[in-house]
Amino acid sequence: MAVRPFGELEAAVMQVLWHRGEPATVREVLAELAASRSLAYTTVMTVMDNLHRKGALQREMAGRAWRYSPTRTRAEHSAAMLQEVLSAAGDRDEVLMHFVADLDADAVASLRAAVEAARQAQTS
Amino acid sequence: MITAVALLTFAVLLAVGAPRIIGAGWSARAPRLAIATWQATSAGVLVSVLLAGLTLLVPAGAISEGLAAYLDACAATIAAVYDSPGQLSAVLAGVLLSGGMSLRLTWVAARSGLRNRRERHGLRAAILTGARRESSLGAVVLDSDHAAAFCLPGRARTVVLTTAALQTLSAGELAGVLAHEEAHLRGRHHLAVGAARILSRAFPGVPLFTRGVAEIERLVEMLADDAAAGQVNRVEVASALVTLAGMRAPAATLAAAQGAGVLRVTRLLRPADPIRPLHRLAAAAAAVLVVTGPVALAAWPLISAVASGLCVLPGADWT
Repeated sequence: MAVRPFGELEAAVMQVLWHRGEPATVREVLAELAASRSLAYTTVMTVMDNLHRKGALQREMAGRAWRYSPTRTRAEHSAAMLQEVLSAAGDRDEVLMHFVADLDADAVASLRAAVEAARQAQTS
Repeated sequence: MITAVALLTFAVLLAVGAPRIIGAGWSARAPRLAIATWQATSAGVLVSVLLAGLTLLVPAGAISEGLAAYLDACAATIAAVYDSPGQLSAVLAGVLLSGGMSLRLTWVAARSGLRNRRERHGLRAAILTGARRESSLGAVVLDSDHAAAFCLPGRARTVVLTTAALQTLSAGELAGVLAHEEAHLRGRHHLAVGAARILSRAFPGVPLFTRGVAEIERLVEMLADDAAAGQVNRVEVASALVTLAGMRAPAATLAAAQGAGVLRVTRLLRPADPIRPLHRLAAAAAAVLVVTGPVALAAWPLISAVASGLCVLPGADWT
């Protein structure tokens, strides 16, 4: 599944769920979000429904309401996102400058030896 | 007409011939000067074409007869242009050259600007969801077993490191990486790369612009390497490059890219002598000349007219 960046409100919802560490209903998420912004119940419900449809959230019926939880941990999400970003934006220096040199295994080995030799020369 | 042809010839010579000279080996020994030379030469080509177009718009005899006559000539030309096919084609060529070039450049620059802004916004949202700010490093840390270090330039500039990079790099190497990324952000290197990209995208196939993007990308890395080497031990900067390259999944590496990577490491380990002052002066003078030259060439008829004393401004009494 391709990973897509979250929209601003989607990211806020994901943050709440990751932070809680346990499934939550729309109303519970709304209550936490309402502390910093005013939102309608239906807005949050739509966002969470979209996230479920995109595969970012899973849900189970508990009582009369759906309880949602993230399908990936925060670390899994950022790792997947990072791979995506570095492969797509790797050649776009205007938006991302990557500290990397393209070297194959042979070059890495010989340059590593050269670095160690230079380090020796400096300390001696 | 002769001026326009001379200016266009100059532009073509620069666009085709200059990459051989600026792309030569000296650029790695003076990256900042090399970047400035690329930029000046690109500006020289643009200015030459722009002025070639503008000189075609000026009726030939008008300027040498003084400003008052010029105004008359101006009106006369506008009237004459439409029934004289020779003049009309010159004016059309002039409008096409100067107007066409400016419009194309503005259009591509505006589109690139919008696209970059959108991408930057998306990247920021993608990366920073789930990242934590580490103020002791002045960077943002992402949980990932993929070792990576990069920076997001722009208004809310950020250095990003992954947890794997933090675990892999020694303290000295980490300081080198951070100094390198900070140098990118401080020097606004993304603007130099962005401007070169816009030129190559607006006028594809021009050797100067195509080669210029690749060279400027390579040179800003060296510039950041040098800045980092000035703050921390240069061997540690080289070591960080090798360490992170070694952590990457083995992928097909282009020979050219590999050559650039090897050069970055070796020049950190064995810094070459800086270029001689005379060489530096020559490059700087050439950079100034490629821009001022076309301007002088285009203004020459006007200057010679004023110097001859025939050109008298209305209301001015110079005797």
